[in-house]
Amino acid sequence: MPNVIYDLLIYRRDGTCLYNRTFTSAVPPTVEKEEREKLVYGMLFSLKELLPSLSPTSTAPPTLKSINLPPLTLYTTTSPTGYTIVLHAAAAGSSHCDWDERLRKIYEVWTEKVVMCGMWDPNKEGGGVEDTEFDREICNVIRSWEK
Amino acid sequence: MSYLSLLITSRSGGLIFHTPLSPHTPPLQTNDWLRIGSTFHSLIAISKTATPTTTKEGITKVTCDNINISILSTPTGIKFYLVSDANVTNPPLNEIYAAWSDWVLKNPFYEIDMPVRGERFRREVERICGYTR
Repeated sequence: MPNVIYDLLIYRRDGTCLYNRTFTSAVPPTVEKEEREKLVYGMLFSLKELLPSLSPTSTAPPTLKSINLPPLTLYTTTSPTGYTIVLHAAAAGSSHCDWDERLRKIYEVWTEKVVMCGMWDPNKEGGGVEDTEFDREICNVIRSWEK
Repeated sequence: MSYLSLLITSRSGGLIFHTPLSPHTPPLQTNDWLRIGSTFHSLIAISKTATPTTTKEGITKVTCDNINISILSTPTGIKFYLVSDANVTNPPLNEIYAAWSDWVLKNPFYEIDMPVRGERFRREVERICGYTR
């Protein structure tokens, strides 16, 4: 069964959404785009705040990897620099290792095409990476996963 | 395989039951458990709006590198949250739900949506999860 990638969101460490791209739209959105971005980030932020309280006392604080929301799954990772990558996807038969690799690939493309780009201002309001080399590259990567 | 804790929230999101299921369960105050239960209830409601497609159940599982949180949302609005090690594959949430029906709902002194006081349900949960105090 091929993967279905719904959307990709990338947030800055303060919760500002720098990139929001929809690849598959299943239903018309019930909330506005900006509102949804905030809801997703807020959900992840609240979960990450709760998790250390629930993990065993003898281990390191847990790292959130995915959230099952049938029929799809939210995969997430946070870079050491504070960028949070969120991917909504539906895929049967894929392991978590596959998605860890894929999120790492997205981060590599982000670093190469955006962070290392001298023209991009990381503190600019809105981010502004919708129509750039990164957008074209990430679309190619996502389409290759959907096959 | 090991389970860490079980939480149950009512239809309105208030915590009505919680129990540790391991000696490694972090020792939290009652207010902390209440906060966790109500936050999870809210997160499930938010998740139904924030997803790009329709989801009736909301969050069913949260996967981390060392723990998993499995969630059963019942048609009556009660939610069961089972915190376990990451290597647990089939959490016995349905068995716990059945035990809830037998030992809580069938108790004539139990009021719906109120905290559970009876020990019998707790002992049954510990038996299902293989925990001995």
